[in-house]
Amino acid sequence: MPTLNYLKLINDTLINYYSDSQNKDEKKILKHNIIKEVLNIERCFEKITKEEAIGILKDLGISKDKLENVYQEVLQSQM
Amino acid sequence: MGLPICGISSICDPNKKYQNAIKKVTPLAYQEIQSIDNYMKMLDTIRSEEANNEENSKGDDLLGKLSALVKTMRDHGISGMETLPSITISSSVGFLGANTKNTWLKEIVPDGEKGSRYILSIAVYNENGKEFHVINSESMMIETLSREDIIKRFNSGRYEYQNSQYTIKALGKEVSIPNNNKRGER
Repeated sequence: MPTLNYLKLINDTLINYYSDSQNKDEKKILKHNIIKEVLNIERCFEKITKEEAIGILKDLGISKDKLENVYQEVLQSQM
Repeated sequence: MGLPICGISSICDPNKKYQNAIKKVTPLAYQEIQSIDNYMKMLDTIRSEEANNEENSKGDDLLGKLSALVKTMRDHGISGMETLPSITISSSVGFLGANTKNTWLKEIVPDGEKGSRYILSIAVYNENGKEFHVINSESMMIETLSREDIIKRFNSGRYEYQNSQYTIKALGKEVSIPNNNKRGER
């Protein structure tokens, strides 16, 4: 079951991925550093709208058909 | 922190009539919400710029993402058995790309006095089954193998399926599936 910790791991992975010289992308690094700040806020999924949370999940590369399930599971794992 | 911030701002004060009073009473909480709002605005700006830039889509880069994931796990001090759920979940939510599968393997390695021992590994691959990236959970190294190479390793006894229910379909009958492999089910 995906929890917030796994989302943090995936986000940190993307920071590493876009920091690698082959895939270097400063804008993506900035975006994922902002997402890192959001994910570090306690119970963050309860403090943002569902639309905003889904936006973050899309940024993390979660596939379209899994977005709703992952959102619900992460939300439940925070309760 | 920990206060029902959203409740205060959006439910009790939908018209923001008491916004200044809330700021006074819960300055910390208000500050946090302001930060989230700011973060979201920054994300929206970056996303709209990305939408205008067609070069963003690099497609699926399974090995690149796996390498970054393994590096991140090392940075977080994750190794051994803990690596397996991280990879399985990343794969199942689509992070590693569409049509990506994973199968746990046991690698038999020589071990001095004991003779041999198992190392748990995970093979990550696209459904086409042409290339397999095997992550050794002990060394945290990735090895990329062709279909022929991975079959050789199974047939020489170096690899075994960790669970007979989770096998690599692309290898078909060229690799034997143990009948009574009940240990270590996922």
